[in-house]
Amino acid sequence: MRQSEYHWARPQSWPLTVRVPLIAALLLIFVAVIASERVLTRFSNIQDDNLRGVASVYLDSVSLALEPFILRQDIWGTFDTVDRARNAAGDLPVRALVATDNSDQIIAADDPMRFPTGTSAPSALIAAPSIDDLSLKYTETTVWTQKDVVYQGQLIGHVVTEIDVGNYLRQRREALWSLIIGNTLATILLAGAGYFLISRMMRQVQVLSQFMGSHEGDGLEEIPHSAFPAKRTEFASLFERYNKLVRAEAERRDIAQRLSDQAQLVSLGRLSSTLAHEINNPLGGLLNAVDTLRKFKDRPDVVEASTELLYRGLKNLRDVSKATLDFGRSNVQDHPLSKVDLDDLRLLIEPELARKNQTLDLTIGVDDDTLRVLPGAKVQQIILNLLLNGSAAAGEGGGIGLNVTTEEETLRIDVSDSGPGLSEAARHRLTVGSASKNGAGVGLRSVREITQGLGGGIEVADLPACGAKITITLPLQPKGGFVT
Amino acid sequence: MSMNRRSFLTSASVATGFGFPSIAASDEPVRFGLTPVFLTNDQMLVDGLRTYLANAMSRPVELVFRRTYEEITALLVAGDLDAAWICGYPYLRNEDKLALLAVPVWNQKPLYQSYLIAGAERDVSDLSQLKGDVHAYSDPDSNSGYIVTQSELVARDEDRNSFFGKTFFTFGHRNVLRAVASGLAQSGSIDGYVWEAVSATEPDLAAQTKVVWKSEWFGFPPIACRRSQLPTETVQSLQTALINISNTADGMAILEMLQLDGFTVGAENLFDDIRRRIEVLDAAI
Repeated sequence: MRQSEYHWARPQSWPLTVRVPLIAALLLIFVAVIASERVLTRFSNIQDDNLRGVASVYLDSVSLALEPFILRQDIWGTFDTVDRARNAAGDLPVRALVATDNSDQIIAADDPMRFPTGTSAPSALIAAPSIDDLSLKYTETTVWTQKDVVYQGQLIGHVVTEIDVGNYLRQRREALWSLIIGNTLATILLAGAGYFLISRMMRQVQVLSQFMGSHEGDGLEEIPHSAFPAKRTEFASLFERYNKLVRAEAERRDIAQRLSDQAQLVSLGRLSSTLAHEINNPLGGLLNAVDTLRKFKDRPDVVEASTELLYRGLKNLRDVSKATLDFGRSNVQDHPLSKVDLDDLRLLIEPELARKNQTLDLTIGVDDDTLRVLPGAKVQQIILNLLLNGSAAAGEGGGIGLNVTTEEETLRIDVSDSGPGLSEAARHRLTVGSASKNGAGVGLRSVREITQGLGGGIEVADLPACGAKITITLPLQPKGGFVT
Repeated sequence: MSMNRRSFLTSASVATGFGFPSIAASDEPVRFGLTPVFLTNDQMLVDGLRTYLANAMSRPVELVFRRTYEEITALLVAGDLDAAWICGYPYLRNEDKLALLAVPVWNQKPLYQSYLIAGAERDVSDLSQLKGDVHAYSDPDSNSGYIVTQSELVARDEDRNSFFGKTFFTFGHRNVLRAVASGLAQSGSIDGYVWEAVSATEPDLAAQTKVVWKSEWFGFPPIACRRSQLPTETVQSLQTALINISNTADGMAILEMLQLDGFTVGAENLFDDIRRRIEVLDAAI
């Protein structure tokens, strides 16, 4: 959950605490826009109805009063009537009132200067909609409307009026602004409240996410009680369950470590008999050499040969005991892997191989600079376990192979044997399963634990002829690097 | 109080001279006709006049209004009115049936003029420049509002029917003023007295017009009665009330509203100038 992961142009990358309130706000705005549109439309319809109603009543009475004058083409009577009707329009803001005959010639208007008597009515008057078709437009502050004047079923003229609708439009604008301001404030308020509430809710998720995200291969961290929500909420129990999980994981890791240590001891146990044999074998020779020295102490050539024999025998014993000591000590404090560690493996396994008349085909295709990023003891343990396992599988006179190479930032360890191949149970232990109850298979499980701990992978393949090949791949640049 | 005393005295003298029938007659309202030559738009004036006449005559007075001179004249001739304020032209047309009761005095004379008016912004100063106008007449029976203009056109050898582009009657001198002021008509024929009176009472309205031409002086529109009714007590008391109108405060208030000096008994030859106009017009018909 680092800040650098967010980018303003990628809303998907925004934190939930921003996205969720934002979506809520957008929904609110959407609803507000729809609602405002409906309100304004309804309001406009009401205004249109109102205008039509008022204009209809007005023009009905005016046309009734004008009827006899229009019928007689009485200019003065018409003028006098429209002039008085114009002043008696009440709430209806009449801007002009014009009476025309049935051929659209103006008989008289309230403002004869604007609409002179005897002239043809301007097109705006002739095209004026009837009251039923009257509706307001936002762009026009005045509207024209007309009513036919009918006498005994005959059209004798028209009453045309211009109405100032500025007041209606002002009301519409005021309603629009009220809605905009009201909705904006409500949206801001609700979005703010939503942000606050959702942030509070999401904070717990964030805490959980942070603690879960902190896992970099070194184990999960428990959520401290100070970070728990104050009340016993679902999040509190979720945190509790998470902490239990973390504790369980820690226990699992601890058990795995102990298993690993146990496996090491098992390996040592298995080695101890061969070690005794290895020590015992040269001991006979060495004792013979001592006897020879006693017998021929005056013969310098014999003394030199026997001393050389003693030296080589003792040196061999020292190397074997040193390798055993190093291996036994390695679980306490690890060291960077080197070629010496791999050579030591030969020393450790050779007595076992010799006992079974087995051959080891060993190829080390890497240098110390490459190896040193890996923990020596852990890798040694992996290989030793695999070699011992291969040796056991290969049987009397069999052969095992160890091939250590690098491949694209990966250390590749191939251990092959000429045995009958890996049993299904062993394969399971190596890849997913657990050790059997009696401790058998601890070695293979230990290989899996350590390999996974180093971020590596395990592959098991059957060789074409016979036997099995186990391939361990270990990343050469593990996160954080290996530090002694 | 003085009115009560006067009504008492009047009743007493009438009772002494003619006996009791006139007491019964005094309950009949006096029907007095008014035409739009009069400033009928002023309700206060109408009420004041009715009250003054009723008080002066100690009788109820009914003021009768009609839209046209013709209607009022017809009512008067038919005997439905005791008297009426009509125009010089209908008076002369019915000279055999009607008699002069009183003539208003304006600016110390029982005379007035006919005016031709046009919009104040127009650059015109004579009738000849009004050719083709939409022209507003007052009333077909009005001397100043129709006869003078028509006869003037005839006198000037113009076609009185087609000189103006369009003509209409407003049936009221003040309406002529309104028509011209509003632009409904480009010019109009109006009673000069009415134009001057409106200039004083409604200067904004009159200022939208200007006088283009003034006629010679004519006898002021008179108050007439049926010739046969002239000697009757009702008509006589009406005449007395009119002639004496300036003697009372109420009467003076009415005169002030009318912008008149008073009423006089007009001479028969007062309307000779109108008669000449009629002759000119009749000759053309």
